[in-house]
Amino acid sequence: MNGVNDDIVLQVEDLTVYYELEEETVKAVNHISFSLKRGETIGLVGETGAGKTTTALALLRLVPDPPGVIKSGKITVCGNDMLSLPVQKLESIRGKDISMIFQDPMTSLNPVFKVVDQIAESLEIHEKLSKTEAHEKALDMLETVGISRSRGGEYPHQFSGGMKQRVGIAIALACSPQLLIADEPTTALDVTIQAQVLDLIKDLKDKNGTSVIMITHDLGIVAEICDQVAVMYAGHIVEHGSLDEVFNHTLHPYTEGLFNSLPNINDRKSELKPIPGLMPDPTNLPEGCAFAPRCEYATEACKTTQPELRTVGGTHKVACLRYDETDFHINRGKKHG
Amino acid sequence: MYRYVLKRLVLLIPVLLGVSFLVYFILDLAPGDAVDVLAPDDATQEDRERMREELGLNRPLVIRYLDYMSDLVRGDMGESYLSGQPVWDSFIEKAPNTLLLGFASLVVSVGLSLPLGIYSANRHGTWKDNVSMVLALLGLSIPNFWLGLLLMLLFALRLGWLPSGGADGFASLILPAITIGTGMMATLTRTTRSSMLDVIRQDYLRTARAKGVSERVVIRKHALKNALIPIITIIGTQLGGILGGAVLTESVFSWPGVGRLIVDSLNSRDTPMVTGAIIMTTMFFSVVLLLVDLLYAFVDPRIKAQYATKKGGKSNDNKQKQKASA
Amino acid sequence: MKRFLSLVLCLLMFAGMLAGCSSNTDTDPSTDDGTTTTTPDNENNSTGDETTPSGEENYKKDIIFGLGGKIVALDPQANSNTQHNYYFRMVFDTPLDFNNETQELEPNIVTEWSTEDAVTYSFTLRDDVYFHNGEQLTADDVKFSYDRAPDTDSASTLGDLIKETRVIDDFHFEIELHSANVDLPYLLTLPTASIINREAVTENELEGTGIGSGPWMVDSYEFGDYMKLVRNDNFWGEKAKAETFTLRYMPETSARLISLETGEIDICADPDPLDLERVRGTDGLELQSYVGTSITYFAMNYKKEPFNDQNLRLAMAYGINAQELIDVVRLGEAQPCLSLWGWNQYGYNGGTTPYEYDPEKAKEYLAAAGYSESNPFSFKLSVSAGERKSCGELIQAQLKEIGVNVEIVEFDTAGLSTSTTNGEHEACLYGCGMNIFGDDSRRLICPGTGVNKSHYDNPEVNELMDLAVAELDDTKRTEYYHEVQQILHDDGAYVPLYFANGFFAVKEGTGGIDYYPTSHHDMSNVYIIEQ
Repeated sequence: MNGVNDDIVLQVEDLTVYYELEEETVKAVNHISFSLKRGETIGLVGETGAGKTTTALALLRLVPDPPGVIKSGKITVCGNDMLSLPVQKLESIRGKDISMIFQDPMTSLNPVFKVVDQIAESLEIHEKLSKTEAHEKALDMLETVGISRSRGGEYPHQFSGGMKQRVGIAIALACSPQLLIADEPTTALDVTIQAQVLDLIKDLKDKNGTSVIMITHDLGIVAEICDQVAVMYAGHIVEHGSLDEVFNHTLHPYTEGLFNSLPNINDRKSELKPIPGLMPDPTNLPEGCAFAPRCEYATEACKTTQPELRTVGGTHKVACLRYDETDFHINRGKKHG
Repeated sequence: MYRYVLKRLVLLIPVLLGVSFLVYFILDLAPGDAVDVLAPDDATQEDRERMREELGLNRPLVIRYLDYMSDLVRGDMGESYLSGQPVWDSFIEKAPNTLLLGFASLVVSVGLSLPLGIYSANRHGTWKDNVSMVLALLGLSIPNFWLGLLLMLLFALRLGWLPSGGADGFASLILPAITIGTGMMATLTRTTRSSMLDVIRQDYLRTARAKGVSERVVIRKHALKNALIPIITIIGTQLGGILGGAVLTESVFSWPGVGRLIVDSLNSRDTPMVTGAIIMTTMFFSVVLLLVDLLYAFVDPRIKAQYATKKGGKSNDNKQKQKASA
Repeated sequence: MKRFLSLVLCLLMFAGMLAGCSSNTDTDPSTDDGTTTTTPDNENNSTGDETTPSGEENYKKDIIFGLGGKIVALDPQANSNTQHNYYFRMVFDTPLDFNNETQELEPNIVTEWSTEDAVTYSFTLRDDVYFHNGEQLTADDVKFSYDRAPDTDSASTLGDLIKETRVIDDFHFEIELHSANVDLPYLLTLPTASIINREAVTENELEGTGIGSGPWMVDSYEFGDYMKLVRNDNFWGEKAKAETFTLRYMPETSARLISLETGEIDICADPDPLDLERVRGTDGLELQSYVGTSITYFAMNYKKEPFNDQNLRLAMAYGINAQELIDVVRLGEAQPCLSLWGWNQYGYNGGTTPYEYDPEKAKEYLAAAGYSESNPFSFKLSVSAGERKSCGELIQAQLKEIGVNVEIVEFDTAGLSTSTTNGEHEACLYGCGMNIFGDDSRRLICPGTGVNKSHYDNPEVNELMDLAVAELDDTKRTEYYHEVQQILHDDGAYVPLYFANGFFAVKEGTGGIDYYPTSHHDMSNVYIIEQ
């Protein structure tokens, strides 16, 4: 029994996912790799369109096909090779070993079924409970996420956004999965609710030792809850490391740009520094580094050569050609030194 | 909910009033009256006048209408000009036949459309999808009675499997039901297909899959129930088509139903019979539509809530909503 | 892809249509397969070539008859259209009978009758006639029936003629008319003269009128669907050969014929002329036919200008090609109408007053009426759907040749009936079945009824008709009628077109149907010999 291997809940190797449409191909995820140990939380950070959700869906093999195609890669969840599993086995893993909370609570619950039933369904499938047993346990789950048992018999439209998301969490955690993917779980919610939901996730994670992939564009959330951080841009991971490494020893110009975009509460008078330009069209990615057109540090080489992700110290990796030079560093690194 | 039902039933009254008025007056506008149909060729002017007087046809239209209505509200639908038989008796004799035919046609239509629509939706964009849609369109384009005669020729004459007419037994129901049912297939199939396509894209199906629900169950349980909502609406509107189809089909297959009764009575200017039959049909139709609307409420809890709060009263839902925020 | 598929399907459907339209090519119309058409010259009104029973045959017990009109009442005095007449003839008795073969009046439940002045008639009844409810038929029932007649819908004409019906004793009665009418005995052969039972009708007005004394009894019925008759084993005369007879309402003509072909019905009334060849060519089926006495005619409303101009009317008469109508619309299944009179009607002049199709002559009359190319004549022709409309369209084309424009106005049956009775039309196409008795023409050519679609009112004709109806001398009477026909011809009162042939499609081995040219056939003795 290899202790180290037991420890690894998720291993993603060289995952590439394209959406092949009639006229064009969207290169959504490009050669990404990362892994997650038991109890660890990784934050997958990036703007909209960076490929975070597609990555998450790929882990569950839920990428819509057509038009989505997994071009390359290997995904191992709790020892299971997700991409080659037979459908029945796949279905038994989904919701049990690995589950997902979705971004928009307003649309991710089925409007014509009671909430308790939507939670109980999971239990009936995976834990082979009888209807009554599952019903009871589902009500327990509701309470765990802070919703009164008496509301179990109600329908989604009778709940507010925050409560719907809690139901979503209850569904995802009903069977105590080893790996939880939370896809921007608080984006659609008010700030006060956000905090509550995050606390909930943290609680449950601590209690059960669940590994979590927290997909978000909000660096504040990452700081709260994540151990690892992977920054994605145009389907690539451009920077990857521990929370401390990425936040306090930022390497990639894009990551720097993200931090710079945050309003500084201490310096209310300073102007916001947005990153100029837009994320490239995923159907038409540039030849070289995808960030080069917007990067203040870009060179000619950057425009023609794709940077590889390489380790720069500890667990810290970055995909930037400039780091081939010995004394290159970005401004942010300097400031926080 | 009860208030909603009550309201709908009460609204029925002006509808029936309007219908009876329209039918009565329009029938009067058409050239000819019952006496011209009844009286033998060699009847003299006096004979005709006498017959008109007996039937009360020599009175002005408004008087006749008011007289008719005053009887109607007491439940008396009058007698047929043609046979002297009470209208109610004739109607009640024929109504079950049309009901049966209507129901069977609905079964055929739904039984064909739903699977075809789901099949199409699942194979969206492929040639199988296109063929299915064209098939469904065929059903709509082929004239009712032509199809009926064709089916009769094939199954009754050439193959001898089914009777060509009359209403004895289950076998004689098959051809007329297929004739009417296929005529309505097109709309229902397209609706099923588009509804399924719409639902298939919904996020909650993704949630179900992420839970590990098998694809079959995702479609049959999670998707279908939601897809049913517009389908039920369309079925409701199709019921009118069933009645219309019944009129032609009943004549072709000698099916003794209300449709044929109405056509024959129209040709004979049998005003009480026509008015009575149409009023009864309207009433029945309205009740069925109400049932369809109520069926929604069972399928879609959001609609149920709507009905309950329609009167503006405080419902449980509202109170919960106030408690609920966070 | 979608479009390609749709195209293929269209082509397939088109091919299917063509296949369906092709007719049966393996029939030789000249094959004698059981059809005989009775012509006006052929006195024999039988169906010829049918198997005559020898008494040892195996008769089919239950006969089913499909017809296109529905039965809505039991009362023989309430309706007078074809479908009801079938039922009346089988369930009731009339005082006298008419023999279609000998063309003579015959006794029925009345054994003897006589009159001196054609005003008062005496009758002797059989003493062995019983109603289906067991009551004996006596003179009192006759009185009851005819006293009731004037207030009924269909027997009122008869009823109005009668001044008084007197019961002499149980089996003798007298009828006194308001004025002399030599045709009374003929009128007493019509279904509207059926005798009903006083007790039964008094007890239950609606159901009691269904009690007759004929060879068949009413077993069960649903108006608008079917009527089932059973054999009356206590019938005073020749008992029926089948046990049950069901009349089934099947309004769709093609469907009705298909039912015959599948064997679901045994007799199909009035198949479509287009299907006749098919029936002739099908094994196991036969076509029985008769020449009808229903005149299809073209009527011009006298009361509307310019149809009050004799020249104009004659122009129409010579400008219409009746033979073409027969050939095209009836597919040859009709006889030309050579005088405005029934070909077997008393007083028929033998067809000596026809209108020969002559467009040149028509144009002359048109000119005489004041019309020409610069002042063309147009009018509206009212028709009902189906055959009449087809005739109308053909007439429209024919009259165009002589420079007349016809606009066709289509009505449904009831609408046409009213508008023409009220004289709202300019011209119309209509039909009138001519009975055997001479005075029957009155309703067509004299004012007062709804049948006179020309609204023709000629005092000369009126007088001649009045004289004839009271004239006991046959020679004189015939002269009067001949004169009437001549006047009608010269006047252009109507343009008679044709007598349509009537058809029944039947199972092979069917016989015993007594075909009446007026189409109220007597099926009392119908039988089907099982092959």
